[in-house]
Amino acid sequence: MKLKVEHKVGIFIIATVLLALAGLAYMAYKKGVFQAETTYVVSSRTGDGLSVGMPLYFSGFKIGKVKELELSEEGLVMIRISIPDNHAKWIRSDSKFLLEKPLIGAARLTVATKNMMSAPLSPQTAAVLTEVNDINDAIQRVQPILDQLAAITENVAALTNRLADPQGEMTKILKHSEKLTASLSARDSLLEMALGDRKSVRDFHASLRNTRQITDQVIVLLRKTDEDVYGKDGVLPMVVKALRELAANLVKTGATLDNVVKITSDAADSTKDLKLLRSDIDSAANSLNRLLDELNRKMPFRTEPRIELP
Amino acid sequence: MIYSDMLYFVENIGGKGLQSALSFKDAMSFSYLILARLFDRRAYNSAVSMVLLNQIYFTAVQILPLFLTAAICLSIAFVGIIGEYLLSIGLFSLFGPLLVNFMIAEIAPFATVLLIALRSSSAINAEIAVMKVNKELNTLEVFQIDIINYLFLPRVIAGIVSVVLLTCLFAVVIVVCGLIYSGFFFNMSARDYIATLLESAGFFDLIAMTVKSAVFGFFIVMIPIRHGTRATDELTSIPVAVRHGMVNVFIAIVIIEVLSLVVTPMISKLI
Repeated sequence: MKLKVEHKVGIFIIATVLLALAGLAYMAYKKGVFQAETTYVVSSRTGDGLSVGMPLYFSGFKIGKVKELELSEEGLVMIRISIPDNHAKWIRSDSKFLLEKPLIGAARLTVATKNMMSAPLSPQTAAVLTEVNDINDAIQRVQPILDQLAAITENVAALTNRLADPQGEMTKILKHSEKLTASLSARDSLLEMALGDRKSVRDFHASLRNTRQITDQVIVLLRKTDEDVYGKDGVLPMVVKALRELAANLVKTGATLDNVVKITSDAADSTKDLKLLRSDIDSAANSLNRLLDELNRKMPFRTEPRIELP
Repeated sequence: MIYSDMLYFVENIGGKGLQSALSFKDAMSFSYLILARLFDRRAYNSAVSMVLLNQIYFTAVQILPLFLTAAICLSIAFVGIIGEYLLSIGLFSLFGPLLVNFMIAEIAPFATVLLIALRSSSAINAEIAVMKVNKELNTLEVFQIDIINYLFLPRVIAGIVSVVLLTCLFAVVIVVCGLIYSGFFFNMSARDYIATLLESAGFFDLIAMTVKSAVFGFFIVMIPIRHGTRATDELTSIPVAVRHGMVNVFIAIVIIEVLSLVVTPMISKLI
């Protein structure tokens, strides 16, 4: 069956409109358009960073949005936040509403609940909004650095003032430098400036020339000495030769000494025999003595000494 | 010599400026005339309904296969490019906002209006120019048939309806292609995908998209009609009228697009 133009157009329009409406309805349903909402009131000292439509986050999830902002009789900003009923359970009497102002980026409205067992927050009760300001924190941290920078700036200012002072040290140094450079420009050389006059410079140059001549002579002398000492027929080779001969002679003397040592040891051996002979003679003499004593005891050849009295 | 050349140059610019201003004024007057009839109940009758039906058929239904193919190809290409790029720079969280605020709110109406303009605006322009050359418009006037009601109004309404509906269809194609592509290539579940879209989508954006599509639809039909009626009695004036009409249609598309980018955020802030 071939469809008529009217049917084709009708199907196209109906299908497209239905698709679009279905999409819209699903989106509206998911966004909670058909859901009942509860409006909570939160007071704040300032409306800075707040705007209508601003989302309210709980644990990173968007659970509501700012519906209205108005100024109360007391000068407080009253924030009306609408929250779908299925999210209202997160809002408790001890819930804390925070306005987080990060250093970079837009302000963020969040609610934090520690005790989920506490009583639900009444829509008639106005909670207080607490501001968490990263900018102020950052300023507080940066303040000491800024103070130090201020001190450094003051020092730099003082330094520049000293530099700019006509009676200051820097001015004096500059004046001296000027004099020095003027003096330097008036002289032929630094040496002239140091010595004072040209005659002294000439004398200095003459001294230098004399020193150079002496140095040349010393160099010639040293060359000659070198030749005499280290040359082929110099002193040093001769000394070396003599020392070598002396070493050879010492070797020979060593052999002779060995012989002497040997002779000495032999002599020492002979001395041992003499000691034996002497001990024999000593023992014979002792025997003779003992014999004489025995004889004296047995045969008194000698009268006893007497003491003659007067 | 130089002075006369400069004078000629200035005169030329002045002439072009005046011509453009008059043309703009003429276009606005014609737009006002069409808009006034659009909201006039007496303009509608069975003959108008029949023309309207045929125009919607020619403009929206006949183009459907080509349109859907183009929409699917463009959606997959854009979703792929955007998704892959966001993934590579670690900003995939912006996938939803970009899909809604760029693809659906901007690309869908723009691509739709380009396709309709290429196919239908040129046809309408040529049709009206031929009718003018063949003196059919004069004949209708002789028979006291209101050409605005009978010829122009149904085409303008068909243009508005077609662009709006096809834009909605394009948006649906984008959402579906995005769902399939992100599921296959980004391992994104349908639930996450829909949640991301819902988080980013706002009713105002959709309303703005619809209004923009309607404005596009109005001008891409109204401008060719106006240029078609400006054809002379000669056959050679037909291509000239079509060329002028199409150039102006594309200029109008760009102007509306730029204006929408400027005006929409301002209205959004006010609301």
